[in-house]
Amino acid sequence: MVESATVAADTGVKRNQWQLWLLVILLIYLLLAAVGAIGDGFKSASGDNARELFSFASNPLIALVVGLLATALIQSSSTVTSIIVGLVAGGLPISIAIPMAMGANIGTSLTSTLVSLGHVRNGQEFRQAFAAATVHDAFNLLAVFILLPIEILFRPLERASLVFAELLVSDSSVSMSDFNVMKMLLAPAGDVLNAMTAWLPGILSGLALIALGIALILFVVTKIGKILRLLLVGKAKDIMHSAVGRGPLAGIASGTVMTVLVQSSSTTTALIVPLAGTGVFTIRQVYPFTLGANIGTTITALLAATAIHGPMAVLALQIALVHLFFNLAAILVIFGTPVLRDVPIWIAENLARLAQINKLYVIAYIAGVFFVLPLVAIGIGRII
Amino acid sequence: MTTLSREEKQQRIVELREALNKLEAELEKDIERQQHDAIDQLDEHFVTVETKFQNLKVFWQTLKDEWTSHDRGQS
Repeated sequence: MVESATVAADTGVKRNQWQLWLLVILLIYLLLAAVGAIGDGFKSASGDNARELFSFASNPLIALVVGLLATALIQSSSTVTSIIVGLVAGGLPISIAIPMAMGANIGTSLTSTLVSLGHVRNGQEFRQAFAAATVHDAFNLLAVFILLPIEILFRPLERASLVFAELLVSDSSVSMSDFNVMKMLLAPAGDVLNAMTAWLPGILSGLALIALGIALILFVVTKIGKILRLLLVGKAKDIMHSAVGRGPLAGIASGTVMTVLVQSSSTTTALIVPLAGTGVFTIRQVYPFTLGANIGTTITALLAATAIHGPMAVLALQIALVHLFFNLAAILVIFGTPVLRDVPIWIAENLARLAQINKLYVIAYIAGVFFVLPLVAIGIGRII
Repeated sequence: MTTLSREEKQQRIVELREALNKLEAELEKDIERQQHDAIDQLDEHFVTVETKFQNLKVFWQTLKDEWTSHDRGQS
């Protein structure tokens, strides 16, 4: 009697899991459809004038600020980079998209900072939690500071990503039947989304399609994260357990895998804040984990790029690869260099020490990164 | 000044180093055990992430309390 009840319960749990996995697949489908919708909407709204539409962001610093603020508002770099993939597919120039993707890296760290504020009543805990939260931002700011000028001058990310994108995207003119599976699968959803906005006049229908695509991506990314968390929290714990007591590479690997599992670098980096706040993990142990989160989060944009077919497929994949290569390059340059490796830790620890003494430094930090820095960047952008 | 001979002192140093290494290894194991325990509580931290905006209220209240006590101190 008891055994049959247990078997029934197990069967029920397995059926529930299957349902959740089906839901994940449906949500991924909607994500791809949404990215395609943004591309179509942008093409429709801008016509041949995509560059003019985004001319205000033609300065890389301003594009950086757009990516930073959009991500800080939405609190999801996965969402913003997926939107960027859609916009590139719709004609947004890569030269504008690249700094936007870099800005998305910076904006995502606000979540972990907010989580650290929960420790504010305990001085030592707050200091440790705030340091763990800000080490991610310090790293991302340093990465942009070093790599953005190099990218502007020599375009290494743009060039390297184009080579790989052209290699990876199959040429549809080579196939015998010119048959595109993704196009066929996504057509029904794309048609429904288009039909929802096609009745609007002129440019409005394109803009509405973009807005619909953005809202859908935001919904999907949020929901997928929650469902995957339910399904994979055990796996996520196993991964973290396996990294305990091992070196920084294990930390990076576990941060990467965990972020892929929960589909959110904001969540991953925020999760370790309480762990660091209690002193169980040191900032040096937390640091590689946040770097892994930077890599793991690029999977969403890569997934989004699979929604794009035809001549824009290469560009869509290119910007997704730029996001990945930027984060890999940042780790190689900063974490891989002894001189630079500890700079983010030094910044985070000193900021946390000041924040423990006077909480106004917290406000100064948030205002500085998310208000003053963007304004300064815009100002410099206008002067240059 | 101890009465130990040179060889005894060297032997004592070796023993102390071994004891220190052993203690460090035990401490490392204790820390790892604590880390494993903390990871097992990961579900609670997911909730913390979802309720992050409530931390702003806590922070704001703490800031106000600090300002108030600072003003009282000055007056």
